[in-house]
Amino acid sequence: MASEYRTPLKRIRHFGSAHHGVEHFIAQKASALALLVLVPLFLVSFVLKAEAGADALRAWLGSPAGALIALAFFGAACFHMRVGVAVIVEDYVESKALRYLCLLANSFFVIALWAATSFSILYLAFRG
Amino acid sequence: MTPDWYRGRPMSPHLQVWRWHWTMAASIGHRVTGVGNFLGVTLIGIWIVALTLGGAQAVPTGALGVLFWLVLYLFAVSITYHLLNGVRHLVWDSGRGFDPDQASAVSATIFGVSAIIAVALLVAGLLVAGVF
Repeated sequence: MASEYRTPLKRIRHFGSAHHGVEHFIAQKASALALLVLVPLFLVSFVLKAEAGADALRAWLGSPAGALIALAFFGAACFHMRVGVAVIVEDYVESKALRYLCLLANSFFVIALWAATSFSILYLAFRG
Repeated sequence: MTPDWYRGRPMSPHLQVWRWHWTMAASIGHRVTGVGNFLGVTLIGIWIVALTLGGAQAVPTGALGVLFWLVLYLFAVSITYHLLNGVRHLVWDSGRGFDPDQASAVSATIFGVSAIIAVALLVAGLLVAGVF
């Protein structure tokens, strides 16, 4: 309904809305809620285990509870990081080509980080 | 030269024009710590990969150990602030807390609480490290 109020000129200028803005907003808020619990849970455990040594950390990451916490943390964190940095890129990078390049690099980097950490954790859990 | 995005439309004044105030500092702080958290999660992630799949065997000690715990500490401080300020953003999303005085007070409080937690973490870390 709301789009009916816009003039045809407004619609074609800058291609109008992509209708994906709210998705990103909700995604950022949903992952923020998850991280509200996961950040303290992961970070406190991580620091305590790292203080006890590498073997203790590996044992924790490979345990059912540790693996689940770490997998959930890196999943939610990578998702949240990707949306957050995408907003910063969209704010500051003016050139269209460079902007898309940065957004792609951001996505690829974050997904690679998520895949690598998840693989490590699963490796510890099942083969460690 | 006029930037491409301007195209004769009104522009809002930028950083150097504004008088500093709490909510502005909170907004900038949120973005800066967000980038800091990105780097922190990346470093922790890479280190976990190195620790489990080879490349690193142990938690660093000596000079490298100091650097390791310093980076981890800075990450903890950064993520503490981002998390507390994030709660404020979630409250804002519900449409509450927009009264200017209240918003400033909450922003200033979050800076204060983060600073207290940062000092507490530092003292706890140094106690565990046996510095005192």
